[in-house]
Amino acid sequence: MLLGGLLVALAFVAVMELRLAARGIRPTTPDTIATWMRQRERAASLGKNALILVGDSRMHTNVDLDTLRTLTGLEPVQLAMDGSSFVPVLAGLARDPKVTGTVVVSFLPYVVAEWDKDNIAKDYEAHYEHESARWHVNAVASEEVLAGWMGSHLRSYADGAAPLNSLLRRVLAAHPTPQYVVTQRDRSKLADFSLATMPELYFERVAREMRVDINEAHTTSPAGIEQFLAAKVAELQPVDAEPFKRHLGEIEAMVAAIEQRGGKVYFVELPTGGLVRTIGERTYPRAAFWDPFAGSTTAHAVTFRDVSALQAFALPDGSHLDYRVRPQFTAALVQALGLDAQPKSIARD
Amino acid sequence: MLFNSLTFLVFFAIVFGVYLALREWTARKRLLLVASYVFYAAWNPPYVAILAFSTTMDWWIARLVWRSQNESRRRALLIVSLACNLSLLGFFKYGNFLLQTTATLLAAIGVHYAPPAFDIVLPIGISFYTFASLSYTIDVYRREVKGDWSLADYALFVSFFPHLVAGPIVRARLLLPQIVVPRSPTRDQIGWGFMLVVIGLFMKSVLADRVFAPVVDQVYSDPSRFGTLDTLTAVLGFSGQIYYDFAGYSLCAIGLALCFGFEFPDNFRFPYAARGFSDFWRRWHISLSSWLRDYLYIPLGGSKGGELKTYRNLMLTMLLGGLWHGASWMYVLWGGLHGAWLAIERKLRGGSSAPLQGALVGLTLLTFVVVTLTWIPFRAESTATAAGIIAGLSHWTLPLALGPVERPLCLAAMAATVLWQFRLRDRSLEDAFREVKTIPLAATVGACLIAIFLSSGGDQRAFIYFQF
Repeated sequence: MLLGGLLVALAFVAVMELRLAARGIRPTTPDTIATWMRQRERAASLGKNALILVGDSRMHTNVDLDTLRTLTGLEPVQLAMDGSSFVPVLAGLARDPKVTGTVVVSFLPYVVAEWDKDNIAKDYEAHYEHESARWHVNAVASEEVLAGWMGSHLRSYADGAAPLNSLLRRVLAAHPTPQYVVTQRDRSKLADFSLATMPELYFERVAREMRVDINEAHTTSPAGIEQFLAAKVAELQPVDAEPFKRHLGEIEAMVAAIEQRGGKVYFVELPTGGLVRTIGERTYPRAAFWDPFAGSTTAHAVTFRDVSALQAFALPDGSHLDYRVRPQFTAALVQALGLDAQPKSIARD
Repeated sequence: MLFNSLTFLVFFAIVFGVYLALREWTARKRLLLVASYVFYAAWNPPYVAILAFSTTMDWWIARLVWRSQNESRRRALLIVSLACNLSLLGFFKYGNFLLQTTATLLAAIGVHYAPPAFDIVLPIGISFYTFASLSYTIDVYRREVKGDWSLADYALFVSFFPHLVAGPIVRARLLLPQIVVPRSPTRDQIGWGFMLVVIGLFMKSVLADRVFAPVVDQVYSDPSRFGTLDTLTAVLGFSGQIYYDFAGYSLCAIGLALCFGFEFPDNFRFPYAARGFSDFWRRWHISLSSWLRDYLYIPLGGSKGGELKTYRNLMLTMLLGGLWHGASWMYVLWGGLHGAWLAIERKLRGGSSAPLQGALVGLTLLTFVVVTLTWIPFRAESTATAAGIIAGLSHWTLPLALGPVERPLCLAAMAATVLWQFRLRDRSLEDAFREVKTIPLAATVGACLIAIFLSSGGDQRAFIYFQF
């Protein structure tokens, strides 16, 4: 009876895997809090050799770690998290006396303006600080290895999904959710926009940036949706810059703490395009946000708006690069930040 | 190491395989002892020392108690054992809580006291193995159990991994005799044991963690965002979550022990079909409620000292029972409410312990509703959250913030739970399954395993976040 049940379950898993394979889904490395913590430990243990990347999904997808390693001579550590704030991670790095390397932060004005808002980065950093002093060879570590093995071999777990999600959205769905983002072992993510459904993905991103419901467009035509979104963008007003400005001193204190230990901090505003860029310019105008920030920090701060080489790449969803252009973009970024000249002794001034 | 983890699957496969391969009983027992300590060490290796210390101390004291004929000495030894066990439990589980409470009380009279911030990590399962251990020394003191077991056998009783970290609280009188007598699991025991594990994992991983927990977590994290229907769903959902979480884990423990040939008692017996609160506590976390009855309520005097003393004893037992669940006044409040319900029920019954009579369906539903509402302080992390939930239930507001699938799924699962428990209230799970024929049973096992697989792993935000 038990054996019969087990065989039924195994047959189900096998059929699901075959169906996913037939639909072109590949297994991926799970990106979990454990993998993030391992990178966070590297950020501390690599000392001056660490090139620590902090930020959101743009840092995840746009930067090629191999290129970065080659051009800077430093060891990249990917600490970016999708949809997160850089603030808790930068604060944690500033508190950690072992962190003496180079930190590159993907700067987003809204995460400073929404300083206290809960986000995943806060949880991850708190978990790291709580757990880093504890014993590491334990069930959590073995579970990570086993779950990692399962995740990287079974398509049902691809992209960090629970198999139920894979079943509903990739096996049973007439139009399966495409696998256009694949996580690497080093936590970087490769976005292949040739697999994505365009321009729907772009519209969804624009709508999400404004927190509007795309269904309110009441049309399925791309031109109609774009018109609806453009009208919504035109209504946007600049947000109050005062909450943003109140926290600039705290960011500078984090920078100072890292620099006092011999580390370096760089801020970069990564490129956006299309309506996503317009949204940013309307809600967080440069004069009220970026300029006061760049003027207040002793760290090297670069915005894509000032560097034509960083604007030369297509952003299919208005925010992220296709994986094919990552190396070229990374080279341009290294040059813009001045990381390639003398990587071990870069003078900020 | 949780039962619903891949690490445990590998661990169990190795231990079970070696156990069956060994023929000699002492070797099998040593294997289980070593495996149990590895199981515990997998969480935090240094804390194995606490388990070993507590075990050795209780074994040694009980041995002295057993051998001594001097009543004063025996009593003194018992007090030493109680003091050591409760001190360990108090330090690790209630240390910070006591300091914070002291600071709050002092602040109320204008004295500022900033307690030191100890980063004490609670040794997992300490409440369970302390109570198991305590029951042994008390039973030896009462001469209800022998006190001359070998240290290795006693250590296996305390640390046997199926019950070590989350119960059931197995008594020495039940498990030690099984450890002494050589045993080999029968084919039926292994089959039913695995069946219980599958059902338990289904209850825990699918129902508790995937159906109920997401709804409960959302609403309890910010009750003000949710309307009456969503709040009601979460309140009912927590009844489901806590039951399936704990009963599922208990079933796994019972099933795993059975695979090795050991029989544990039931820990849950369809509690949401209870008729009244005393009936509820005969069905909910039975190993704890019977422990509290035998080692706290009855020694306090039980119902022998008159009406007022009986109420006092009931209330004290339930308050401490609440505190056992965790270092928070919310648990104490939950225990106090149950103490009050038991006292009211006793008053209504006129002191009789006979089962309540009346409209059985109505009585069952009334008990379920009150038990469900009483879970609110248990789940809420603060009185403010509890008040927010109660406010959400008290006046009708419309916002429907839960997902379109979450609410009906949660409500349907809870309705099915109550109906299922009501139908089976006077039977055992084993009886119910015995009537099912082989093919439907295999299909049920297959369906449970598929559901466990589908709900396994995965970042619930994955599909949102991978689109950035």
